[in-house]
Amino acid sequence: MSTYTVRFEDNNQEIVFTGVMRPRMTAELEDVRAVFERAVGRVSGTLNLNFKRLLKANNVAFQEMVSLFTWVCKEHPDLKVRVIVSSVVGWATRKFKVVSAISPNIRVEQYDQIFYPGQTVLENSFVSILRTQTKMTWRHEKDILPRHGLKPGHEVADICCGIGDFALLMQKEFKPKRLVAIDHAKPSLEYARRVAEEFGIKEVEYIYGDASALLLDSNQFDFVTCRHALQVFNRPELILKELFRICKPGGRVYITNEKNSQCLGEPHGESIAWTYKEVAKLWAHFEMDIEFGPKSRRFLADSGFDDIKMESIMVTNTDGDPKDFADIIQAWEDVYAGEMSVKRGDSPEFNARFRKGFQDHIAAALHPKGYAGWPIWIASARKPV
Amino acid sequence: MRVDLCAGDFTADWLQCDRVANYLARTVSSDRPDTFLHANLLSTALNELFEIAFTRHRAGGKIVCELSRKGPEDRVELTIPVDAALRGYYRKQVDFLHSGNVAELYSRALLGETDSSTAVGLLELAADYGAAISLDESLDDAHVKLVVEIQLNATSAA
Repeated sequence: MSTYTVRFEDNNQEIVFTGVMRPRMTAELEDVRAVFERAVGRVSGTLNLNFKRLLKANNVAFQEMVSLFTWVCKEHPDLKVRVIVSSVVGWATRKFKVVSAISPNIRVEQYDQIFYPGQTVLENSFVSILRTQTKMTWRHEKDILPRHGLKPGHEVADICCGIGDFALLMQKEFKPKRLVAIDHAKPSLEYARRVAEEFGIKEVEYIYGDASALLLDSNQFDFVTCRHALQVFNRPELILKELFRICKPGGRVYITNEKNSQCLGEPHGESIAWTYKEVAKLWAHFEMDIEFGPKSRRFLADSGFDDIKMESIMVTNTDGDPKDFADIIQAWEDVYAGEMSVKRGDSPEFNARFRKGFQDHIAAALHPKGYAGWPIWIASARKPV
Repeated sequence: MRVDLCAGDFTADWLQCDRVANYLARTVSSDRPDTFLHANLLSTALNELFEIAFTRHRAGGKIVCELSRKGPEDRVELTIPVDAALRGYYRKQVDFLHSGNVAELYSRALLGETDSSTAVGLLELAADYGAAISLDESLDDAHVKLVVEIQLNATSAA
């Protein structure tokens, strides 16, 4: 079974493989050899081989690949070969382990470890607080979601689902026909599955996946959500392209993002404002954009969507228990000041001032006459019919 | 789960290896934690086994694939119709798996440094997946059963 495509892209010196490559004989892969031969004549420095969307390959195909790698290394010793695989496509990470032994010029990279620079910073630190965040935002979003098109009976995908609590709440409130929740952080998924089991909810499919190269078929979901995630990736347009692809024509994609520099509070407004402006710079240092919120409209339009709807909410200390709000800010301080600022190499003086803004925000939240806010931008758009 | 395949029909079309492997993998993986990843890995393993049976079988009879599980372990039993020569072939392949460091044997096979009849797929399952592979010859004179015990454990695949 060979329903693959192979093409050479000059601009990034890359041969891109997609589909399924299970030939009976290597003779069926003559086009692959031809693309290799053409590519090595046109590249200098590094030849990139992108296997992240080659869903399956048998050993007949793999032997031919090994033969081609060997040929390249022998005939073009000046050339480096970078093999790019994704951890989501299980066969590839295992199979390609052996090819780096062929030549020191071959390097195998698991691209999704590079693509998600912020993930390792965030995924281990935030699990404990994400549930509180969702609890506070859900008070608003359960009323907002129907305005953006979510209806009972829809087929729904929650991409970058994190610890899966938003998916669970959607399942309970909106009773979708199908709900697939995908994330690239295994600890978060394990947590999500555990919580779902505790709650006796079996309808949500939690799947390990890569938001920029989803294994889901095209045009299959009525409603696709992606919350607080585009701001974490340095190439949000790649994820939006996938959200567009899996959404049915006429279906809608729903995204939420922040603009942290607009977090506010009184008293101590100035100290709070300074710290959150610094948060934005800190995220930018780690190639993440916590200021993404108001940019949602432009990104959705540039990704091919129409009928864009946008609104903003302010999560505040007056939404339920102010202690919940304070807990969120404390978690932010622990991660932003306690980990990211330290990792960036900030001075103790900067760190102390940085922490003070968070503490002032907490004080504002807990003050009997205080007010503390965290703004979020919500946008949705339709995939044209 | 068990599927009985008429050897003649199955081996009439190479695409059957892919089709049956995908069907079984998707079905068996549907209640695993990482459905897609587990199905992707199991399909890879099953496809290699079916390709071996497709290439090396006696005319007539049935190719039977039985799948079972015990905890995180999947067990695949593939019954293949054989004659004496084919029985010897399968015995040789399974013996070869235990003749040295299986990762090195797999690398050598990929580089074409072993007998061209080597079942590379079995080496891959043993080397990359840590599969325990054995040959059950106790059925009758006309069949052998390849038994593969494998822990795909999708969550640690990366």
